[in-house]
Amino acid sequence: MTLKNKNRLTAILTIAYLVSCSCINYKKETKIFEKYLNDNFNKCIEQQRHFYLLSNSYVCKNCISYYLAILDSSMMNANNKNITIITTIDLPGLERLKSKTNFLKDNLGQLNYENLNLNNLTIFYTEYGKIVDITYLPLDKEKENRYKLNQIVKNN
Amino acid sequence: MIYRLFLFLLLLFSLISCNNDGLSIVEGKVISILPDSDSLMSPEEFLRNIQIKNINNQIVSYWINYNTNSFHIFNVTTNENRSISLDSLIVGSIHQNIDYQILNEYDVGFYSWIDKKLYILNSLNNLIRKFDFNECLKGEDTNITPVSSNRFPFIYKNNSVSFVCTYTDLFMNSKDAIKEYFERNNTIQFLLSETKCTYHKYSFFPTNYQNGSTYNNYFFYNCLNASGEIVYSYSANDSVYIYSATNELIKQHEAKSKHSKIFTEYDLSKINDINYARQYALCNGFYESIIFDKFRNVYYRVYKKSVPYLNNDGKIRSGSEIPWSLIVLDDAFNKLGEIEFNPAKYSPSYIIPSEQGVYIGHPYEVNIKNRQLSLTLLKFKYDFKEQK
Repeated sequence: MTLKNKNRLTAILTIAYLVSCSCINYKKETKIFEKYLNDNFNKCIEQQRHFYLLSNSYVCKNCISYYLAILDSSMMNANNKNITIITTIDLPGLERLKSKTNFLKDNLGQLNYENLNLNNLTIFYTEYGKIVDITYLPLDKEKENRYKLNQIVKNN
Repeated sequence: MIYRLFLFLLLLFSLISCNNDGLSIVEGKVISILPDSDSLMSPEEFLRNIQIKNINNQIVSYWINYNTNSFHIFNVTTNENRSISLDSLIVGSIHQNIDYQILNEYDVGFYSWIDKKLYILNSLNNLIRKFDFNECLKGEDTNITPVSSNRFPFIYKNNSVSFVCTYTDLFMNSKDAIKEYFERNNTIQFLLSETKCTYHKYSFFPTNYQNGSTYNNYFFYNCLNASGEIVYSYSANDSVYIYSATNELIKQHEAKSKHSKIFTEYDLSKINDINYARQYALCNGFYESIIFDKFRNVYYRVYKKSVPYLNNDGKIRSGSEIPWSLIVLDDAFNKLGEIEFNPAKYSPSYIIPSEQGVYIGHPYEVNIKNRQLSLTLLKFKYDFKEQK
């Protein structure tokens, strides 16, 4: 291998390394979430592109109900089987949304103890059984949160 | 060999007794409360709404069922069950932001902090008295919202009621606003007269709060003693503060846990990060409720110890994995001892003194699994009266 080729190879490897580093790896979260789904609902992370909307008990309950009502009103389809809502809290008045999506109620509140860095309403985007992105709908930034919910409906 | 065994047992015994400062616990009967089978309440909802009090040495539990807009009273001692429909009594005000408590043998208080209205219902004749604090507050005090909740309930005494005082003109997202909040009065007392409304603001947060330190807790715990004085306990302060029946600060007295360390400040840049708030609450030790035991004339002050955020399984610690202790103070607030509790068995959420002993609740995780609220009657093997 000539010096020129060696330099080229080094450059390619460096770029490849940098690219791989810039991708956020959700290996830890995938492992925890996979085990949680399996232990509590006897399910696996979906292979097809999927949105998991998660809410534990340490949330602003009114905000969660409000965000889910927005999601409900923007959904035209009656069947959104690539959206799963998992919650530990009671959400009265969202019966229509519950029937439009996959709705899982964590009655024993096990989601409260998973080290998944949940913050208010948290969305896991998954593909091929792995988490590929995580987004948060925190207490503030209502406008941004609305936008994120609309994106889910659009990409659905 | 026997001598070694004797030494080992002696050492073990001294370790056990030292752990509780000479106080030990004797477990008594267990009581359990279940929701009605037709109540349509989830265990989570039931456990969130249920409250317990000792009324005339009878253990009484009560809760609102929001599905049926009804108030339930279950006397654990006599096994009597009662239900009162609230539909016609408190029109339009039954929502989840209502706080309620049994005030005495007959009266029940319902407080809606959104409407700033207090309703006192006589459960015998269903007569209701209404007090609208919106009409009462004047001038800059219209910014005041008296607040009450399960953990920080209003105090009812001699036809007056005291609330935690919050201010709607302050947005608690900056150090300056929080400092100003802590510099203002933190309690408001209303005299309950149907003809004339009068109120009085009093009490301040301790100096470490007023200096601008924040601990992500804007409320406080307090209790009423036999003399009509109110004793205040703040999460991040080793002292208790005693206010006279006329709302004057009588004294500040140290009531420190042996586990108490320097209180770490909350990072205000993460004020909207709930995950950080949980981590902060777990990894720091704080004081919690203060309870007056009129049967023994002592006070119990709860101290929640600091623990690592995650347990050995890599999960976020649950309430049943957070150890706590009970500081026992005599009527002059001198520390009599500190009792260590196993959090897997006992929770500080329910501490109900009775003539027979003190009822302590089981952890939330155990209760939700069993779909009921359970408490154990404990006797502290130490007669406070005799020791004094």
